[in-house]
Amino acid sequence: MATTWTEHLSRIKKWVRDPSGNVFGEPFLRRLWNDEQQQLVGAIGPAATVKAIRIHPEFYGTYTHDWEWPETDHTIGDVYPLGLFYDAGELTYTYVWEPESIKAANATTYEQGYVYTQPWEAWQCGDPFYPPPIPLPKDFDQAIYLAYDRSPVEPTSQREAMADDEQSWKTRAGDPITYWRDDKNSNWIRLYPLPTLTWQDTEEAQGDPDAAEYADVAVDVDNNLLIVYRAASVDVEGDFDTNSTLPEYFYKYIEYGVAERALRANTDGRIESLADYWGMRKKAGYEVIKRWKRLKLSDRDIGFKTKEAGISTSRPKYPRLPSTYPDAWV
Amino acid sequence: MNSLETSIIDLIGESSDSPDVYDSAGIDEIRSHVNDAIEEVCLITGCFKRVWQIPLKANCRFYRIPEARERFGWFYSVYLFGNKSVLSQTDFNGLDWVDTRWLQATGTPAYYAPIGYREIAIYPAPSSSADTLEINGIAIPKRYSEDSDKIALRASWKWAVVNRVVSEWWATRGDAQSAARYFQTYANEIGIPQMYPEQSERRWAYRTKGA
Repeated sequence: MATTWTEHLSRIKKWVRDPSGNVFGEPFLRRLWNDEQQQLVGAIGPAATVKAIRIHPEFYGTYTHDWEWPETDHTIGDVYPLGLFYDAGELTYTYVWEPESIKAANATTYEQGYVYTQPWEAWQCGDPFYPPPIPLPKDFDQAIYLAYDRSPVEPTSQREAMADDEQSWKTRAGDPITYWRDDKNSNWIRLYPLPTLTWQDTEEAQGDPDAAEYADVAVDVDNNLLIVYRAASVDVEGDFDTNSTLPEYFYKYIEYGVAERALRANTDGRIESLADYWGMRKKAGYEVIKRWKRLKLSDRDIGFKTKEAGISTSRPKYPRLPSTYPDAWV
Repeated sequence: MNSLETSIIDLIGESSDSPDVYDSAGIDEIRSHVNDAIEEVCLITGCFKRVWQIPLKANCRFYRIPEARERFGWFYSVYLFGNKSVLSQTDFNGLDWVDTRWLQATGTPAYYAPIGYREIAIYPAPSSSADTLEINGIAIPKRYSEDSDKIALRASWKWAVVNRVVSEWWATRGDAQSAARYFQTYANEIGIPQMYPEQSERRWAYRTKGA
């Protein structure tokens, strides 16, 4: 069973010689923990994991104005901002003709498809004005591999998708070939072209997208998104929080790092010599981690090859046309 | 109290025959240190191996190595038991190069790609639920909690663990100098010659093409 924050805290208090928490408060040590945890993830190389993502995506709500945002369920999950902001009028609008109307223009510019207020409506209307966002998991950092309905989907940028298909990039439907991220601040991606959806009235019909298709968990990834990604560190917030994406046996190095920084902070508990000791322990631990990273490749056959050897020598067997197959149709 | 704990208790000035602080309840603190030390020694030396056998399921290409007992460290080899064949390690670029449609192919698994530290994708996915993956991996022992629990540690590394634990004990008492001295002893004992136990027995040589 994974160690909880309360258990880590108890050990850290012992390292910093403050078992009753008279000098170092829990919030202070937790902030240090979250920072050190992020450093550890950086040292290990972000932990990778695989998940199936539901298509259509589910959001926890919609808001139109920024002042509405604090009232939404944004702490639980993603909320969708409806509309765009028109700076000159300081207004939020839904359709492109609205700013024209405010400026007393002809207001004759229209979207190519239907405007939706919830991303799932993009599939209901069948002809959405813009590819709907698909939120990836909260701990998503960077994609390693992404597939829709078991076929690979390559990364691109919105700019490239637009340049390749100026007329219909916003509304094109079909089997997805590429995806782009909205920006680095969010975990939203857009699939292009937009896949058609085998509409499910109930969530159960789509299986549980939170679990990947491991041997003991049957999950249907057909018509859903499968993503292998590097996971970012997720801050500890509650007493019983754990982090399951990193090996449990590395967490003691975070404890050492927290002890070092706590003992070095300008508080009544400052002890430089002990801080140096825990700093040395953390450094030694990070050397262990570096070694572990190298050893993870123990079973990999890596070799140099001359140009003459070609690449076909290690090309694996996969379905090929038989040698007797005619090379030209007559 | 096992022999490791007895050695530690003696070194920190407690009586191992009738401990005052580290009795049956207080010994948990020492055990926590010992478990940390054993984990680190196993990580550095890769000294503890075990086999995980995972029955394959038709059309299923992702598997997670269970950690009900030992924790998984890293892959040493992966073997397809019934088919008597070795799976080659690759990554997602490799899978993509082998077969862009690798998520659709089924057959006899020939490749595996680690995801994170204990999850793998295999290619092709097994076409039937009729074989077993035999994963030889470096394991990190389960943290022991009872006097009689098995300790997965080579006898000659026992003192390295003892010194590491005593080092931490001194740190919790505020004596950084003693803590550093014991840690240095630990570091020397777990030094480079022992870090490659298998390689040290090998004889490395160049070979001509004709040989």
